Amino acid sequence: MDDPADLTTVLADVRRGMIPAHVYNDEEIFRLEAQRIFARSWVFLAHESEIPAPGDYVVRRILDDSFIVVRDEHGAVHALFNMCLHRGMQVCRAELGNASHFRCPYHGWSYRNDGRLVGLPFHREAYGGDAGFRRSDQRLLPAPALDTYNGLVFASLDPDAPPLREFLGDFVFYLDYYTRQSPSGIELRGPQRWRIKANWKIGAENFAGDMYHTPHTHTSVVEIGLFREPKAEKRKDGCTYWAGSGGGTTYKLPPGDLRERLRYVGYPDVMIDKMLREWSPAQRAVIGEDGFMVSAASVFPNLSFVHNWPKVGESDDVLPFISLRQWQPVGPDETEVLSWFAVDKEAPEEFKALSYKAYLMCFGSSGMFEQDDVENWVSLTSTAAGTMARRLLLNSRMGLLADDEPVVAPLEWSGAGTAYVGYGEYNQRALLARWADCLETPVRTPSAVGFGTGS
Amino acid sequence: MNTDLRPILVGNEFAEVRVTRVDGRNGPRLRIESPRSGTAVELCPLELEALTWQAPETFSAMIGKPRESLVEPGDREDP
Repeated sequence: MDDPADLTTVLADVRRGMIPAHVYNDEEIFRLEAQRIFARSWVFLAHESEIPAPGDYVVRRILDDSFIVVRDEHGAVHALFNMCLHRGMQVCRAELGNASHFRCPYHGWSYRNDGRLVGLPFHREAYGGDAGFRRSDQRLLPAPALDTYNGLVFASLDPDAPPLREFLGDFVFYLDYYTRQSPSGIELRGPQRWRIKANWKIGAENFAGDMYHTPHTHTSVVEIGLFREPKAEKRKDGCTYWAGSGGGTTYKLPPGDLRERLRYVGYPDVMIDKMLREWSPAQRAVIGEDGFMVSAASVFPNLSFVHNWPKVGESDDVLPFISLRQWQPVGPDETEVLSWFAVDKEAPEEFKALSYKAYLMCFGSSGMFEQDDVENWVSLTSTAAGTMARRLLLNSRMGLLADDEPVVAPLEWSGAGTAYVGYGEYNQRALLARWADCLETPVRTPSAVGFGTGS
Repeated sequence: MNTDLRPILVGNEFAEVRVTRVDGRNGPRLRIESPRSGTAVELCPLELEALTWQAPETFSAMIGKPRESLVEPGDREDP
């Protein structure tokens, strides 16, 4: 912001749950987000199941920085900055592939799939050999920090970032429901990738805690009988929770024990047996004793999850699916959505096929929920660009009384973090509080690195 | 000379080759062609087996000298 006092006011408003509407479409804010959020946080890049074999790679971005996420010949995963050391051409231009070596299309510099430079044409004639350009030990610039949890590959552009596990904090309690239903974990299909004219924060907030929109925005989904759950009286019985770097929503399930409730959302016994072995007593108690089933969730800054159980056939039987989605910022008013289908690797093939169908009906570029949501987000973003939006503070205080006391007491249950039953914007505030903490803290500019000069 | 008429195409974003088994009168070879660069090589079974002994470093050295032989042709060995 031109005037630091403006930023101070914006952040103070956000922290009391009154959101200056322009933050959803503002060049200055976006520039700060790029530096202070996306150049600092752990950002999701890929899942290990997307690169199972040596040489498998996918190309992914953290804002404008393109990375080759690759498994080398020895099985190690790397995230290599996709820029040739010579003239900066993107070394990999395909979205995915398999290669032992990458060759830059511009001058033919080639790199092994662990990033090491192995050849530059006419090394002796053009550079005088190693005397002019020391070829050994040069490699594509690695992401400053790289780590995984349950096969989810995250990178941070900050070499001093705290360990990923510390960053995620207690959110891993919930991450396991989506990504560890058996010892083998998940496998992904996709992503589908498309662009929407909406600010990236809206999706992250919506998935983090907006149970309130479900009965209204998604009325048509209930009307056509695709989904049996999102009726208003059902949704407000669920709870929202925030733990560590993320939070999410749940549904309250009908009476029953753990196995009966997992059956209720459509899991077959062969999968339930593995969940029971894989999850901790507290993770089992959230479903079995407290009666809550995870649904949507977000990890700061821009990774979301969804777990729903629509009807997939003519009968009233439901079947669950899991989706991972990333709100990849393109600009203050544009977001690239990446949407993956996720399923337990050990699930029966028949379950995988039906679960994929359930996912496609609800989410992905043709999904019904997706269509409903994006219409709102585009409208919000476009209106946030104007002059009047600079005068309006959006009320995001649902669940808080005037004295900042919560409308309902925190839920006492087995889950990690803090949870409240019913409608509230606790999680949206928690997410934006993290956003504010990042925005007010400048990032140290790292020193530049050069290659081959021998110094 | 009989040639198996069904070549195998192997490609990624960096290269594309056509692989054909070529049956000569006294034995087969594997022909590898790069249509884009117009180069080709015909390898006998022993040369192919030798490939299986190589570490990734051998291929890195070959790829690091594009369109050239790793070892200069002729009698002398000049790595």
